[in-house]
Amino acid sequence: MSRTPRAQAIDAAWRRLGPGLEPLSAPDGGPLSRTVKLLVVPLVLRPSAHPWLAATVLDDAHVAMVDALVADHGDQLRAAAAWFVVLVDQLAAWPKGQVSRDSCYPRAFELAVCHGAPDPGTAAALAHETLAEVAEARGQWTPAALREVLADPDLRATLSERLAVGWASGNADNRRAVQTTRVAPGPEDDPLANHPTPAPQPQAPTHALGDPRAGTGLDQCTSFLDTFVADGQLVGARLRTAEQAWTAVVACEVGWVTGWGLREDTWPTTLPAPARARRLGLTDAEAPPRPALDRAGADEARCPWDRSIGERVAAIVTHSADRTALPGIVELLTDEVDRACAPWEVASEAGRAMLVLGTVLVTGLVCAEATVTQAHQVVLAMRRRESWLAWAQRQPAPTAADDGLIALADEASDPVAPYLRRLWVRVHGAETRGTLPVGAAEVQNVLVGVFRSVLLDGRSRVRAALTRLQGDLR
Amino acid sequence: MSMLVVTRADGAVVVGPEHAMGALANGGTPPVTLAVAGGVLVWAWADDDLDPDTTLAQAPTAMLDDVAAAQDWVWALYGPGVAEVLDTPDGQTVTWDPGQDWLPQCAARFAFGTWLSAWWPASTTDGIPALDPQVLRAEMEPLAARLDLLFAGDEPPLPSATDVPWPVASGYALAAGPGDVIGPAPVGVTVSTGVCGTRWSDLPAGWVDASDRAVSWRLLQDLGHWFFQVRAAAGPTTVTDDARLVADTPGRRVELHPDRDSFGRCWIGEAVGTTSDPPPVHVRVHLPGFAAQAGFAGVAADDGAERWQASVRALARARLDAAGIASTPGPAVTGPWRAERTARTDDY
Repeated sequence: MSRTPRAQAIDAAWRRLGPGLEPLSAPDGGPLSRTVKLLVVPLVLRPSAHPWLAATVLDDAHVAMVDALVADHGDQLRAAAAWFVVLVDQLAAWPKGQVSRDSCYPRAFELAVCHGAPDPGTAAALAHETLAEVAEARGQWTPAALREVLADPDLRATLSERLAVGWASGNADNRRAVQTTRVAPGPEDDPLANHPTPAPQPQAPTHALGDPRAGTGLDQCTSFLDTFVADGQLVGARLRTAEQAWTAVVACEVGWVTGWGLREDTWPTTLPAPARARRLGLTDAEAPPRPALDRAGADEARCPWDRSIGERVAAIVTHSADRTALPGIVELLTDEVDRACAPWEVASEAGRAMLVLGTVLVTGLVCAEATVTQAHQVVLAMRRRESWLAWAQRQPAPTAADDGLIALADEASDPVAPYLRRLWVRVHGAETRGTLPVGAAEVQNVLVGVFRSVLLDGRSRVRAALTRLQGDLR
Repeated sequence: MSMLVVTRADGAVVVGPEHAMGALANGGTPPVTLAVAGGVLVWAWADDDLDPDTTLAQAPTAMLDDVAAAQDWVWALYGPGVAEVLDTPDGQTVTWDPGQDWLPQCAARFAFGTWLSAWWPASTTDGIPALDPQVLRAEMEPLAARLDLLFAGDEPPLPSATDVPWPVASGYALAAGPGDVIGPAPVGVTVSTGVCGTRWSDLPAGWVDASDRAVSWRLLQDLGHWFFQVRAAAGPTTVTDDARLVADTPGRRVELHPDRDSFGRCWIGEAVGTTSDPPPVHVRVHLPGFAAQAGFAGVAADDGAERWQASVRALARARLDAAGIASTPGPAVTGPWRAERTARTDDY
């Protein structure tokens, strides 16, 4: 049985639809990358409904399915292409950045499904209305809008109390409740009904240094980081070893212990130093501050732990693919208060375990005494390749250690803070969406993928620094 | 069609012609590269005799660290067979059979454009005219649009087309004398002068004239002090007032700022000191923080720079000759660019 890459199957099916798709196509007639990513895959193939279409290489039967799905949607796709032009025209009416061009892809398809091909008489108005909805939906969840919700004195009082008590205890009693809170919204009159009241007395270890779990936990982390595979794929016996190691990391609660240690500034000395929350880039304060419910100022705080509860909830909603599936705003806020009180400010031990692993991985890169694991080898190789590419393309080196005249932040050569900030946001987002990695391979992909993102950010940053010195026409 | 080998090394998946595997080394002539979704494509030069026709006709070597992202284009550039092998745990040899015939050529042409914009050895001293970045960029833009697949819809890596005025003369300038050496000493006794080139990988493209006689210096001594003066001829890239370079030689560092003297645009600076280090034999002009391999040993680190830079100059001269000859179009991938046809020895 022959197999075909999914991208090729989509390309072929797209071309068979014939003319009328130009606005969504590349010059050679295939679909634009954005068309595939934002429209064809999520809205036509719908891997959420057809999981077998999520693979990158498909067998014949599934290729036929791609063909059929794309062909069946031919009229809608042609209509969507026409709508896309109308939407992009209308885009000019909004201030730059308020409505993204990317949002035009799914919206064009939606208009095509609801209205067929655009009618010259009504198309512009409909497109305008659609984009207005997009803009409004964004506006609804700004920190400012959340501040209004939080203006209710009763809600404020309840949440503040919960925050104070939970923060003091590391939300020890509540952690299991938070992990499993995906229940139906409570009665209208008592949105807090589903949440147990936090226990008033502290339950968490107060001296993580003295906690015997810290030492063994870090051994578990090193063991797991050593299951990364530099040459080859994680399969067979290696995969089984990795799964066991990952299970052990979660089971030993090193996430809980170290997270508490960060808050109390008693990070286990067995970890590569210096590992304080500020050094890790998670806060700008000396010690992790108790999050505020909301915060003045329009810009999101740079460090994730300095973000208010309102900002964190805004991020959850903004990145949600399906808002209708989210619980009510009060429940989201309550959940987020509980989450913020927990060590590492995430609710699940798996999420915390990933943050500890990320910390051991990335601090190991800047600390001479650190144990070099296979995971370190993988990311170091990636960084070498990035340096090599900078040399080959005559671009500033991302890892140069020198008294750089090119105005780069420390971040260019020190990945610790950018890495952990990105990882925390990733873990937090995955947790709220219920998509935390379940297997060792997935965890490894996230830990390495975040490093890749940090390198790519570094690439843009050094290029921007150079461009600034040269001026730029664009 | 040639054969491709799929291997895994150092956490990356490598796809490419077997003979190209060892060519991804540091040093030597920088290869033609293209950053794409999930990794980077590399066309490595076979030797110092730079032959774009051969180099760019071969399949590029891909270093992939995000195979899932690369799978969107691998079938089109390398063929469905490679996509399938990437989906299995073991390395294999596969025939190069692109799913889109035009794609390898288009990618190679675009990547060659980025290589030329980075390494073109523009020099008034050597008489190698600059390529107008806007002309080059304009010719690359339609190619970038066709390569949407490789960039996953993200911003393509087009060369930046800069256009800021070169800083005006500060009034402070060294009087340059005949030849490459800086002119009469204002004070003191000249104990040493010299001329040298730069290691291109130390500097952003076009900041300093690419000649191996672009840098001149003079060391003066007077009443127990020394004055160290350095001048570097500027390249075609314009920079802002606050751009700085440094010139290093053991025991002495001079900060250079952009200026203009009777010989044209230049970088210039001087330092004063009291140490009794020996006179310099070589000066390294560089932008600190730019080159990955930092470290200074008094001479340019031996990456064969002098040799491969001479090869690139030879290639540029040959290309200018070919571009000037006729309006007949050259080979699709390596033929003359409009920017090469219109290149003139401007008074940048």
